[in-house]
Amino acid sequence: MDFLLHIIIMACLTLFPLLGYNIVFGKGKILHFGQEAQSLMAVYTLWVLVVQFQQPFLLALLASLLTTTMLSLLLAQLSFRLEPDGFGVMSIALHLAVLSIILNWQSVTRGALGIPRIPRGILPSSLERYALVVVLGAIAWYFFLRRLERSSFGRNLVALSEHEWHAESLGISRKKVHTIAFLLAGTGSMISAILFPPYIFLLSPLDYNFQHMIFFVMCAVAGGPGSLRGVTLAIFLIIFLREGLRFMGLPADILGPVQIMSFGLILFVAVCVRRDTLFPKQRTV
Amino acid sequence: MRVPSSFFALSTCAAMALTACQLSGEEAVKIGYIGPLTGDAAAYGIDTLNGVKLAVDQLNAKGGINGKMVQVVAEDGKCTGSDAASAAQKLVSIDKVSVIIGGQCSGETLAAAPIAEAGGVVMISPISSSPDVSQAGDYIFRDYPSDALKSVAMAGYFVSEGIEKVAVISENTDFAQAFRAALIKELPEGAIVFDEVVEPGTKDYRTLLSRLSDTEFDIFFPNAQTPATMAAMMQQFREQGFTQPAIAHDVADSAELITLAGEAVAGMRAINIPASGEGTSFESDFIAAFGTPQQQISFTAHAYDAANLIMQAIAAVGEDGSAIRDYLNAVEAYKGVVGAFSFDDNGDVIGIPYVLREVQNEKWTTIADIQLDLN
Repeated sequence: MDFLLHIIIMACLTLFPLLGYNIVFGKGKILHFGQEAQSLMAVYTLWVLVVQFQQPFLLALLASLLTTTMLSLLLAQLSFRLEPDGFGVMSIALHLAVLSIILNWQSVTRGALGIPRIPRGILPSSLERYALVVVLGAIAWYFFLRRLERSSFGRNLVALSEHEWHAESLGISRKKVHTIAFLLAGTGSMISAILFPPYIFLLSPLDYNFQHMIFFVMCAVAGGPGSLRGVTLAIFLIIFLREGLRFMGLPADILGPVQIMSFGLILFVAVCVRRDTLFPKQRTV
Repeated sequence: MRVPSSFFALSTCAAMALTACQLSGEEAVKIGYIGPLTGDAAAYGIDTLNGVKLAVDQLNAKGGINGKMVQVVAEDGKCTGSDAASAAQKLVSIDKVSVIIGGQCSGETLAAAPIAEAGGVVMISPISSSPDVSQAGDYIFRDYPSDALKSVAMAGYFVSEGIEKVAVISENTDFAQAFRAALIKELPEGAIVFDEVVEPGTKDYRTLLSRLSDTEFDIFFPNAQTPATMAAMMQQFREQGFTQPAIAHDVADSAELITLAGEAVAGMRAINIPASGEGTSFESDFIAAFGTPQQQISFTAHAYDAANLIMQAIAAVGEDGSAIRDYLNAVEAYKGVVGAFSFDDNGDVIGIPYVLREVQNEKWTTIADIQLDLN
């Protein structure tokens, strides 16, 4: 039961930034690969201030909100000025730049060592209550995004993604809509920043590297880009699948590689099944 | 919205099938293992896992613990906090292991520790060396010394040799950074005259070494996480014509470094725990069972000793976590392959000495014992 609760918590903690990211990447069809830069900014500002500088949590939260908002606005500005492919590359560069600063500014961030003993503060100490808080938060976040998706913001975002010029000619402001989308992605990262490190009592930069970004893209594609329900289901299924592979009962000496290969194979099959999303038309010569 | 039904159906079936699988061996004593079995640090994980398996296989061949066979439940911690936390949660709540041997990377140990602590399961790490592990909890032990101690040994060596100016290039990984931070703490201010950090796996140091040529220094410390990176540092250091001596830590003390760097490491020194297990029956048993270790034989020896000590504790006091914890705290001098050791109040190992090693005739040779001045 505890393991099940743990997996549910991990899936919900992934859901916050990923559903935010899905608004930008899936719904808005903006080629954005810098979500983990937003997560790093949010999580490090918050916990460096609390743990390393012993600042009050609320003050640190405010600072984290400020830096994450600024980074989200920067990303939005860059997306307005660059072509989609150029922005994709720029967002990767931004993620790597933020990660590099964190790894190298060791007097403040402790670099690759990460920050141990992250306090839970007012968050529950028992697994069951932590799961309850996280699940309720995830449900609230889901329905908040669903409401937004069905509002004029959602319709405008889809209109812009389908035909930007036509949408703008109808009076839809790209700058306003896309800025809100990036801010929502930043909000998802903020929520995860508050809940994830206290859960494992550790803040490690390895949990925010580019592999995690690939995982985000994978979940968004597998669930159907832009689909809140699809991406939510994809997060839960992929995480349950990944953790389920721990039960394969393989000999220890081949365990790691076989689990990775099995996961890759299952994902390959999943992507083949979902090829209509990746390749709208069957390619023929 | 179009639900991707085929994908979900497929995934659900696979997840259910996998989750439904049950481990066999209900009657066995289960020992958990967490370590990096995939990824960049997999060599450490595979070696230590094999060390644990050797100890378990040998004990099972003698009839196990009070007639019960011992089963190792291994989990891949991937050297990351989140994966190690998942691994620990499964071992504690699903497999209900008596103890966990792990993690190997310090980040794994720190993330798994609160879960083991909450579950009342003793965890003993064979090779985590970060000073942070000392405060990880009452149920957390390690039979590998903290970097805080090794840096004391290195600082003492510099004093004894009259070395005042040290040039350091560090790889940006948890192990190398923990050691760098501990060394900076131990050395007088200004002793480190060149202190650069490079991205993990960097192989080109020519620009940095060109800058180093403008600095006056007595000794070079290539602070890398892997022998491959350290070999690149040393080869390019010698290529650029530097004649100063070089010294490093555990990572240097491997045959792989000599194979990779050749002449560039002739005369290089390392401060390390003794080459535990080298030339012993343990080494021949290990090689017969698993082949030559990918890293050092001493890493496998630490894992082997951790497993044997834990199994001795279970045989003596049963599988209750607090009883095993108390047993380990009361150990006075457990005689293992790595030497006779016990644990302090933090669960840190006591009794593992340090030695000064040097590359002579293309082999690492112990040239002196090092006494620690902890005052």
